[in-house]
Amino acid sequence: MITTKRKGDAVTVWVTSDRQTRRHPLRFALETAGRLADLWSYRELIRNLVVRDLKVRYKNSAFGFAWSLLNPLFMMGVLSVVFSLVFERASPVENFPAFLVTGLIPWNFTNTSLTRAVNSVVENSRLVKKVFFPREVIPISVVLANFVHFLLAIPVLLIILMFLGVMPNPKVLLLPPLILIHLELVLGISLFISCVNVFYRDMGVAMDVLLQGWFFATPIFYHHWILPLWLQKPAMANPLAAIITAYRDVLIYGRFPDRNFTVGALVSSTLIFAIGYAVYTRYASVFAEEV
Amino acid sequence: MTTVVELAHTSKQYRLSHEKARSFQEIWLGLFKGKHAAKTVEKFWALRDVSLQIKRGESVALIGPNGAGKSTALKIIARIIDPSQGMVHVQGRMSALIELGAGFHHDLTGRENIFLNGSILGFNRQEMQARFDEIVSFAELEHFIDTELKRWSVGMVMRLGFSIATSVNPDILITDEILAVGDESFQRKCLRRINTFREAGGTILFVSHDMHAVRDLCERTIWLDHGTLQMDGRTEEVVTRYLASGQDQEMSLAQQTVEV
Repeated sequence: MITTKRKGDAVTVWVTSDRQTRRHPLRFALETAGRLADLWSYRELIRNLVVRDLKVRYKNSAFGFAWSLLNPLFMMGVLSVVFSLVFERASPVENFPAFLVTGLIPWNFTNTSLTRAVNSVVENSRLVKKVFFPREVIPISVVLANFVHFLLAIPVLLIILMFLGVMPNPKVLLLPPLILIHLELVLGISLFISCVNVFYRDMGVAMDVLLQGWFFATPIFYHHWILPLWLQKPAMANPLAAIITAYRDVLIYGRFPDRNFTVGALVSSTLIFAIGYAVYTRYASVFAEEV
Repeated sequence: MTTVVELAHTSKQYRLSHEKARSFQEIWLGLFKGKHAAKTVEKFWALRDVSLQIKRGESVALIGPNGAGKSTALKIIARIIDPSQGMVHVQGRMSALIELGAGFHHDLTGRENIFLNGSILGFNRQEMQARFDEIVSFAELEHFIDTELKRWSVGMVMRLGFSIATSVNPDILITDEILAVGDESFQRKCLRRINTFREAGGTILFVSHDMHAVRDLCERTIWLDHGTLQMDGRTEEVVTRYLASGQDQEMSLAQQTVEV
């Protein structure tokens, strides 16, 4: 078991050889929380990595940042056409394009974050092998770079909604807490999958299929009402389903999101983040050897 | 004098995975064939029960043939890897030149990379801003600093890496065979800078196969072989004994090229 103790600028790491000694869960939780607080002193690094990511990603592309909007917009166009022409009767949703775009832009954030986070530690192997810093900085900065795109897309989303005939309403003020729950969920999953991918590269390969499955399992292009009754509750246990439904309630319908669903999403996102962070930091010390 | 680096009975074990199952598929195939994956994993001690103390202001060289555990020791001290047994204690800000420019991004300009690399080493924007001109002028890169790194030569990138890592005024400077930076005049400049750092009271931990540089820079030398500590003492004695043991062919080659 490895114990790390810090005092000022002095660090001591020692190993007790007996494998039976396990940390008390409470102590483990305290240490993990302390480590999370330590991240604050690395905010400059996170900021620089986010800036690096944003600068590099669109360096040689003509549309640049617009892609994070064009993508969901194209998808909205395609899905609107498909559903309103081909499955005219199957889409019971009023103002389908508005319904779609409010689901697609949050989904786009989730999708691109996870796709890029899963390989992030492996891609930065040179850094991991040669320099010391808290390893969780890597996936966190990848997610935050995508989060910046997401935040920038929200005002644009409001304008698009106005074009589609949905006027902004005061409930929009409920967006920030919803966005934070969403961010927490994405961070938690990213930490987990980027850690697993260091040991089993299968994670990166499986990501495509898993994300596609999640896309269909989440009410993005359909309403959860169309599901069979027995399936509605389990489907909404998916935190992203609850989050996207809440986005729609706030942005389109101007009403309070369902309390049970939202609290459920908060609880499960927090749980996922805690698990993701604990797993990540538990194995981060061997990344330099495994990556 | 305070001890700034200490290893106590420190060991590091690596797993040599000859045919280690890396994916679920391989594990399943292994089960199917009745082969147990763990069988193919060989344990290997890269460092075995090494104890050493380095006091503030000392400059210490780590020597030994390839595979002696020098880099493993440096990585443990730099906290990149954890030991398998024993203890490591480090006090003060470290700048580890395990690899120059490890955090550089080649699509960013020299200027952007200076700030990025600074924050990787744990220095904030103001601290880097204060040293910016000095970093650039030491690396002699005034003309290229706003160009993307991918258009630079390898030597230029190394020069910038060295310049950043030594300009940040760390308490402890850890270097792994990095003096092969740029041309001869720049190498001399690097040595001068390390000397200045030493004279200012900085602690240096220096891995090299170049015995000339070791003799020039360090009063104390630690000789590692097969992961164990062979000798720890004054550079002159240790280097003489080490050379007499004649087991480092690569070193003698390096010696020849320097002397020619």
